[in-house]
Amino acid sequence: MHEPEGFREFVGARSGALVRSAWLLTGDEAEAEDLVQTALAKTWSRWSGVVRQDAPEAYVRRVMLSTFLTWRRRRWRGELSVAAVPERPDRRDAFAGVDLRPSVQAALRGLPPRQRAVIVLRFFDDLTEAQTADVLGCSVGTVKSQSAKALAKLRECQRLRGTWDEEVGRDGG
Amino acid sequence: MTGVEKRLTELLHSAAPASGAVSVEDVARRVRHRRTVRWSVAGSAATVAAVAVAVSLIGASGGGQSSRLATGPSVDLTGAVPWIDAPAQPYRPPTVSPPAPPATDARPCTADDVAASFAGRDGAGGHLIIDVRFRNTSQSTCVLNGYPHVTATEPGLPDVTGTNGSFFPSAGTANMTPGQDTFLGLETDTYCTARPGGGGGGPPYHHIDIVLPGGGTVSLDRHADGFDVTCGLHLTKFFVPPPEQPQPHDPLSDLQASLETPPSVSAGSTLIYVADLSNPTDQPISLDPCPGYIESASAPTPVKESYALNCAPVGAIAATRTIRFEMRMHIPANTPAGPLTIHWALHAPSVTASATVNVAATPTSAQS
Repeated sequence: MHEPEGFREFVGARSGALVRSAWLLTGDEAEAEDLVQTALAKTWSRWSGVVRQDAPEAYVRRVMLSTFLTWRRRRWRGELSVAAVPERPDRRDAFAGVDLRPSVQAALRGLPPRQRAVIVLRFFDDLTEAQTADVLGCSVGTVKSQSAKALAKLRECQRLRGTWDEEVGRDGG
Repeated sequence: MTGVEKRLTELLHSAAPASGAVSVEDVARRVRHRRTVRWSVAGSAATVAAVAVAVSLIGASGGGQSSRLATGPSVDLTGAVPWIDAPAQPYRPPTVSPPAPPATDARPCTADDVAASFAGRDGAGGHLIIDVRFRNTSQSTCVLNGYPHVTATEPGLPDVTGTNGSFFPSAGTANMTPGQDTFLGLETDTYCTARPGGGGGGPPYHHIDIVLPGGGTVSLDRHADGFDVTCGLHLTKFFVPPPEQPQPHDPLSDLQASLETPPSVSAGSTLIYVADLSNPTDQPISLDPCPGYIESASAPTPVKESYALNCAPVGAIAATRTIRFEMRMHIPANTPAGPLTIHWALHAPSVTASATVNVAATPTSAQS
């Protein structure tokens, strides 16, 4: 089994962005890495075909989202909560020190998986509604309705209380 | 993009980690694992041999190294539950049913039943909320429910009536026994149609009258800063902070872990060691659902793997008993000679162990 051509360059260039998205989906560093590794592993054997489509990242994102939703359907309800984890290999802890993280994490966890996926794709990965629909394998109408429901839930979330812009408050923007 | 959507984008970008990546080696290990699991399911001796050949052909870096399967001296595995190469299932902590909603059926509190004072303040993005605390100073239980009628007044300025509904959501209310508190939020805003440029600076109102649903008026004066009600005064309903939910106890967290390691292991070989799980309690601890575990070592090529525990032969760990589980960890070939600390953690709160093993130098002649 040989490493597919161009795969290393893709992983080097884009795995960081994929891990960031995966963290917003899963809320957990280890699970985020697990999700990205699983998606890339599933893409490994199809790489030559994926590259020919000229949109490898979109393909990997589709696999990642589909894997995430499948994991959620398989009764993942808990969060891995380990008071002390094995010492990670020596690297800078890039996941610490942002005040909003716990609130955003909790707020996203309050969304059903598909709504969470829409929020991450639309407002973090900056995909259009059509691109989001393509990644999730649903219609644009579904993306719009899931997005509206998710935004309404996030605005009501106690953990994000006080963080919305002033335009939100009165006109329900 | 609406204001909400812009703000959400900002929130997501500021909350997401600054960096994080996976390596091709991580992915290659995952690919190998997926193929190994599929081949293991086929279940023939020839398949097992094929797995061994495939693993020996797939190098972590720089080409195949058949020494990946070579093992150094191992611990005594007598009585140990054999290791299995299976993915860990997601951890599912025990759940508790949500508490029943608190009772709100007491008699309505009157102004004579309570003492009011300003409590905390909060806000961002141009919304400011100041809480009022109402403490039950009577001899009996009563409740503050729904919205009061609130008026802000200031000499020489028109009265401003509070409107029901605040940008800030609030929890529900509850019966208030003597000495307990209920809260009300009073919100003012910086931006509105009356002041589109924001900036504050409206005349402060220092006096608040609160007419309670049960009767009577509570009056408060805010001498220091007052309320800028240019954009109105908005009310939450009466609320009490929700009680803290007790964290359910996971029996797995009672287990104690320790590791048995051989004195040494060769770089590039598989370390075989034992994880002991001890149950110090007087009750059996079930391994259903079967937990996973994470093992790692701080080597130049980092090691971090997660597997399922082999629970099938065990089922549960009896009271005061210890079960030994065989473990395997590949030590990368570029691990320098010397002490290496390995870490092990069950997918359960606080069940961890560490041990140190000496890595022997790899012989300088290549092994194929």
